[in-house]
Amino acid sequence: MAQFFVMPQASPTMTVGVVARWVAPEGAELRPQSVIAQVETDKATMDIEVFDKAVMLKHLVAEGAEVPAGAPIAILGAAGDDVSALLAEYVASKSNTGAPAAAAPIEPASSAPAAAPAPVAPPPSPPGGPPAAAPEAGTVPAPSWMGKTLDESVMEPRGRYRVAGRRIVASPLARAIAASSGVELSRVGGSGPGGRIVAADVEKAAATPTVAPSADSGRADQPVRVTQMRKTIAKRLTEVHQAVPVFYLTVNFDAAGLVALKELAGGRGQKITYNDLIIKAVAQALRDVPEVNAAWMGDTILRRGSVDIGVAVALPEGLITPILRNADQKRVGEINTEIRALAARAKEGKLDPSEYTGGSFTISNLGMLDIEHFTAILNPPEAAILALGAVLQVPVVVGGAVVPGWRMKATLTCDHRVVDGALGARFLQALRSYIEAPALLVL
Amino acid sequence: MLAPDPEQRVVDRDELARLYHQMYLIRRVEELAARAYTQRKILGFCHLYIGQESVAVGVAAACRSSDRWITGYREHGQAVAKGVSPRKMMAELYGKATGASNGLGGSMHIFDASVHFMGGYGIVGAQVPIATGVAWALKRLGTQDVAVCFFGDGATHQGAFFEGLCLAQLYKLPVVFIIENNFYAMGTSLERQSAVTDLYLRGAGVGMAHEQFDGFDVETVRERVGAALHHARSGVGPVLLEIVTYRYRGHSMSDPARYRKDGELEEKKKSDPLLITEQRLKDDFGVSDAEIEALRARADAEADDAAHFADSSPEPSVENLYDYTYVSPR
Amino acid sequence: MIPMREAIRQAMAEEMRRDPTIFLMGEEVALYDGAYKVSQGMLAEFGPDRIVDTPIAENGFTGLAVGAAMAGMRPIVEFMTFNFSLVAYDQVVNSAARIYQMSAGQYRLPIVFRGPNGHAENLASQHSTAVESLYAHFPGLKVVSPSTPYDAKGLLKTAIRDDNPVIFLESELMYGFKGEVPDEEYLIPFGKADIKRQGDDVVIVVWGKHVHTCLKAAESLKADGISAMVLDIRSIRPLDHDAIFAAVARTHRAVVVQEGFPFAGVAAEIITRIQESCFDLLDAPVLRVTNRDVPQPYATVLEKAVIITAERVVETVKLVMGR
Repeated sequence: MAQFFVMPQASPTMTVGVVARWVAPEGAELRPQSVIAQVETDKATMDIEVFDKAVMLKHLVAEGAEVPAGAPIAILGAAGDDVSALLAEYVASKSNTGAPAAAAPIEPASSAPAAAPAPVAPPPSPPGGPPAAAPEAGTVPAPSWMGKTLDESVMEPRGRYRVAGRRIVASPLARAIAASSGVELSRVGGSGPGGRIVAADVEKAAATPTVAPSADSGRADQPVRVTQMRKTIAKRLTEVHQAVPVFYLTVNFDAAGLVALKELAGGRGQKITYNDLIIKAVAQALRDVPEVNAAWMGDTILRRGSVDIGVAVALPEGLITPILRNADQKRVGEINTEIRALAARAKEGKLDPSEYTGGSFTISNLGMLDIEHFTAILNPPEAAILALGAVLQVPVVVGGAVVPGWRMKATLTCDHRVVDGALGARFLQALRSYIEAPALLVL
Repeated sequence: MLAPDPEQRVVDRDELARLYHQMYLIRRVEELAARAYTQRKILGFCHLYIGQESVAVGVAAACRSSDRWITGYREHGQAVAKGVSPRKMMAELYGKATGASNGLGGSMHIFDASVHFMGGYGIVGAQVPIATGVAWALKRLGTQDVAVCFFGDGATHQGAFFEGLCLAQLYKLPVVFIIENNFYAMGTSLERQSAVTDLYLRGAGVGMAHEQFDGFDVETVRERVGAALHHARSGVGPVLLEIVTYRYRGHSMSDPARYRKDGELEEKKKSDPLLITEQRLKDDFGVSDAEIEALRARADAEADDAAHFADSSPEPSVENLYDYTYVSPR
Repeated sequence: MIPMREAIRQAMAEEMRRDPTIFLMGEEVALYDGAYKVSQGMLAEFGPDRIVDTPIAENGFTGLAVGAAMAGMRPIVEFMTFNFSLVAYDQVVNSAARIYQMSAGQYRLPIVFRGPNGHAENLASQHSTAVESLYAHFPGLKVVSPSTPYDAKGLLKTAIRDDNPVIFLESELMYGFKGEVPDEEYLIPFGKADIKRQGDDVVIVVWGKHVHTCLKAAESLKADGISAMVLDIRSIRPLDHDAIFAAVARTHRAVVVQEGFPFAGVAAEIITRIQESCFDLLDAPVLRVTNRDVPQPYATVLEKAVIITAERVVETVKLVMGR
């Protein structure tokens, strides 16, 4: 039966071979150890042999061709065998992948039946029987010396010798810091492996006043290490809250239009969110009232040329506001796509600093967490930030009758140095015109 | 020249046919090993015995089954000749749990105590003093067995070779040392390795009986090794034999053997061990082509069976990794 | 009270009477009675087939022992000094240490390699090497080193009965060292350290002849108010982790004393294991005392500067104690 002959693995490091010369022409009768070709490998030019009786039916590659080890280079078989099926398979695999994924090795006719076509390279797991665990690094069992006989302990010892009694477990560095800062190690909780007190634990204890333990709850207070991100958030928000004179304007929008538009889009298979629509609405309102799209720079007010809207994204260790640039120039669908990509990258911690700094206005939305109303802290130097609540179905009065309606509360936090009450109200009016007639947003 | 073993039987038709089968089987097993190597089923180093089959088979024909064999890393053929089953041998090459050394040894370290095959050694010449020690034990434990030690021409320059010979002769131990002179130490030809190219003369320096002969005819090997074994078994001391042979292939699978002279391999193949014995079977014992073909077909099937067994055997379990580092306390 | 060489001889002779497959082989072990008279009189009792003089061919007779062991005997190989074992290093590490594993347990290697190790006096560069770090590196070998006649006899009998190759390190300086050895038979298992002196402030981990150097140092540390434990590990491989870690748990300070060069030595290995397993038990870094990092010089004044002395042990212990 005609079969592929594949580029052999002539040395352990060889990945490809070049057919330098065909020694056996098509039609040649071959015996075990007949040389059929010379192949240049990474090491040398090697004679390539067959190990079974066969006839060279067809060369599949020309002299000079570079072929990966394991890929067919010829068809061997008995004289007169039909090669058309294999040839078709070869051509098909070439056009699909550039190189055939697998080809059967030449097996002697007398070979045991189970040696059916198996891929040649890479080496397959044995046919029959489950694939045995490959000896990968790290899978070697590491015997512990504890509780083993001495002969086994000759092997690799592992495991920690347990600390008994009242010894306090602290690293040498932690002990040195404790000594110099006067911290008693007995009142410090250890965050290291096995409860070891490490330097950071002592530093934290030194910065915290001693708390008298309350009635014994059985659970000790746990100091939690502060990440760099949380430190930054803490510092900036404290500064803003103390330094910027702010006031708040709350409005209650009729959200029925938003609900209808979202349903309409969803019905047509286009996924958009309230957030996408609101971003678009805010961007348009900022174009209408550009005085709010501004920043306090100390001596001057900077009126921003572009509308770059930050959208707060919650992370396990804090929050971050990736920026949607030129939001006013984007269609709602584009906004949806871009926001999702930014949020995903933010959650993976892959944002470049240029992607979360330099915005002109920020939106913080807790509606999806069923918050009805809240106020947000400014993101300086921006002059305003909009806090959005949930879209809720509530009883409303229409023409003297109570009917079901949709409402959404929003609160604008304004830097009074830039935005006065009337200006803020004007901005919210503009925003209302879009949110309550959202068709305008998609025109 | 050593006196022949008076008890050695004359080779008859059946015996010669058996030897032919053995030689052909070894060649076929090696061919399948080469094929498996090109398929990355056999890895690492793989040194083939093709061309030298008459040596291992001739020595085995002269030995008792209880004689101990110790050898180097080109030992697949010797293993099969000594009685290691082709299945266990091939499975070891494949690194399988069913291998002669459970996959721990590989191509260069085949051991099978059940047939007194005491291993392949990867440090050239190190097996010479080890064989001397085996012979020491055989003598002290009161056996009539002989240690047979194989190594190549390349080993005859090692200190271990000389020290082993010195001690074996000094203590008059029952050991036959066999230089399989295949003319190349890896890629270095004989005249580039040694000022003395008749390597058996090394025996003279330690006062050891020494002899050289061509090993292409399995009957010659059987007869001359029989004489050496008879000498060693009689208690008078060891023997150093230089058996001239030729390896058809490179040192290992990745060696194209470009260092040979043009036409050298073709010339040597004219005295191919299989060819010589096939002619003798036909000319002197009237064996038919069909009978020869039947012998080959049987060996082909055995070799295929070995390769299939190796391929379908399970991998060794990593859980047993530490099992043989130390003997557990009794 | 008997000297160390006699304890070693008793161990060999008792085992040889018990098991006829045991033989002793080496340079000058028979007719000459042993270069250090360890095998004195053994030729007369056991004859030349079992007390075997060899030519000067360390690699050859070490290989011979490997083959004899594979074929059912239990050789004891005496190196006149372990410096010469380096000529036979191939047979010890490539053959003896590995054949059991590479034959998947088909051949065992019950061999004892024994002889004097490390420096004696003014033996200069090539006859003063301490080899424990060179052999303990290899899985498949066991390495032991006694410090008293009692330990020597008990450990050597265990070594001869062990089915693995054992490196048994003696000392030329100790062959005349006397100690109590009971008349009745006893064996000392491998992997059991022995507290040669109890102490509370610091443990000195040591083996072989420098156990005595450290006992002297511990005595003089007493005057400084430092209570030093001397832990004789006796076998380097297998190592008695339990005893070492328990000692560290008691004292929280440790010094490891190892003859030979410092780089990649047994002391470094023991210290690594202490910090891996006992990091939180330590009050100070674990320090070591080794030979100075130079080949052994000949002149007495230079030799004394290189080798381990009680004074150097005292200094190092004081560093660890913060004194």
